Amino acid sequence: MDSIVSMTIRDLKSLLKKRQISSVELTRLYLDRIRRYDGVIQSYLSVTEEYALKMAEEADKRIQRGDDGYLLGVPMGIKDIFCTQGIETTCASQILKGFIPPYDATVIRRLKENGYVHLGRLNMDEFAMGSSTENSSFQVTRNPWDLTRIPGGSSGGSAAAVAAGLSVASLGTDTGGSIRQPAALCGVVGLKPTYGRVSRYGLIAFASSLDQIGPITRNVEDCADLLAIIAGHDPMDSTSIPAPVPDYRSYLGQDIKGLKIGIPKEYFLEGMEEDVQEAIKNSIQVLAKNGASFVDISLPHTEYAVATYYIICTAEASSNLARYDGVKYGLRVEGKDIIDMYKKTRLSGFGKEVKRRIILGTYVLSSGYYDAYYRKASKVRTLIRRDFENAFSECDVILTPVSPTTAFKAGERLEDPLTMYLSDIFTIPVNLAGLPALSLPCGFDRNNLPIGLQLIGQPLDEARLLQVAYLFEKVQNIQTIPDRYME
Amino acid sequence: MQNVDNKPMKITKDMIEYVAHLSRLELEPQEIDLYTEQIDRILSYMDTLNSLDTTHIEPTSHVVPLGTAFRDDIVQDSLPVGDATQNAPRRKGTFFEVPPIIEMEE
Repeated sequence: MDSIVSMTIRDLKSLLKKRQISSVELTRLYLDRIRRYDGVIQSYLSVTEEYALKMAEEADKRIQRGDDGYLLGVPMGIKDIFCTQGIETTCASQILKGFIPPYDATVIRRLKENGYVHLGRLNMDEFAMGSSTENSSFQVTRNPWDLTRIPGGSSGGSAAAVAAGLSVASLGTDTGGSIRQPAALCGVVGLKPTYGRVSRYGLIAFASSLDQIGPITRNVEDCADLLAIIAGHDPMDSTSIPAPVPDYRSYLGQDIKGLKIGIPKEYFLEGMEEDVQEAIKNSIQVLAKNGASFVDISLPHTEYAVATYYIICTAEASSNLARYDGVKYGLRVEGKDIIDMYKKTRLSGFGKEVKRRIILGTYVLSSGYYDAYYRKASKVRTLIRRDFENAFSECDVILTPVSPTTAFKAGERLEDPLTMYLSDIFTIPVNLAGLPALSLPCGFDRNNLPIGLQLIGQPLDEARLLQVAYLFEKVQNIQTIPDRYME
Repeated sequence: MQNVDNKPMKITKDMIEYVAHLSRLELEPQEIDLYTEQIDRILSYMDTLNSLDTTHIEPTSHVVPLGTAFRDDIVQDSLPVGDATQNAPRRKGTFFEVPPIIEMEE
């Protein structure tokens, strides 16, 4: 029998169904692994052992009754951004410490309906603002491939836990790359679906026109299966798209003969690490050998994406985070009057990066500066969206690197926000255009750090991305768990 | 005022303090200095957008062209008030408790 740690969700389900292992045993196995390895990696903010074992017992009873569910009895860690009824949900912020949601996010409800077991809460940058998970107000998560480096962010806890086999799979959120970049830096698979494909109800909001939920997994098959569970229309989210969900699994294993893949010249300029460039070149050859054809394309407004993004996302964040005022939930610090109470609460409750973004966002929306910044950025967003529309008249899928570098050292970019912002240069345009994009391990650099490949698709064309990624994964067979976590 | 790159400052300390007030954020004195310098650099970087002519371009606020989502006007259960207010740091029964907003005359 293969090691349980390297199995897919479907393999685990099959063991559970045949009663070769019980959900309680499987849950204990993961709890033991977390105890053994997570003291150093620090991917979990909290482990909900009692709750997990209760859910596992329930799952075992259901399995005995012959019930079914795509995740029945399968334990998973959850990014601490999804409201989960009765379980503390903090968004890694002091301002939400102790917050117990009275309802489930739609994605959590769907995981529950499918029988998952909740292992614990995974670390992230506070309010998902960051690219390294160093902005968590609780702890710093390490990259399982090199413990001196960051796991990426903001879904760094999710990606690190999956990479170290401390969760078979997880869900992340992606506003400017927060699923794809940590997936790439931790050597796992991450998918940001089309904006509106997955309901955001119960997701703690950062930038509402950009946020999207998606799977972080160790293989493409699990990615397809998890997406099938969470995708689809939800009346509780008015931006959710009322389109049917395709059978993603049926695309896995289909060949890619005749598929046209676009390579944007703007993504291969200076600043990219040599090993990243080399890995991308090799990936292009692999896909070409398997029948894909390649076309050179141009996305001329790429260089404006980071500036556009940081105007729009901070503007939306400054508005979304106005709700943390010490009245309805979370922290309250008393003051001499109500305004003073708001100010003191927000001073104590928010971390540095969150405050920086609220100030920047308030500034770009303020009277006298709105046209120069927010309105200008919204117009450039149109140009960036059109770049992709034009490109897709020449190709089916666009291929790029996920990040210009592999995982960087902890602390390296922390004092320099602009450099940190620029590390998302290849992932941000996709959010501005609302497109689906998948991050896939494609090799290692000279320091044995994972490199990620990005496949960008047309709206609602996730199936095609999964199809290409599945083939690539089968041909390349790249290791997704570091050796020392395979025991 | 000039910044570290010898360019005119995009933003002043007073402006940062004013915007912080609008955002209901109290800042430590050293944070005001830090944010003034950092946000100045970020805003200078954002000036790159000015090299684009966008006079005749429509802004994008949402990428998915969706109309208003309507539902049938059917009364449904909502979250019980007790559950919705359970996380309030201070409450009286099912009401949020806040400091006085309007001064009361004696």
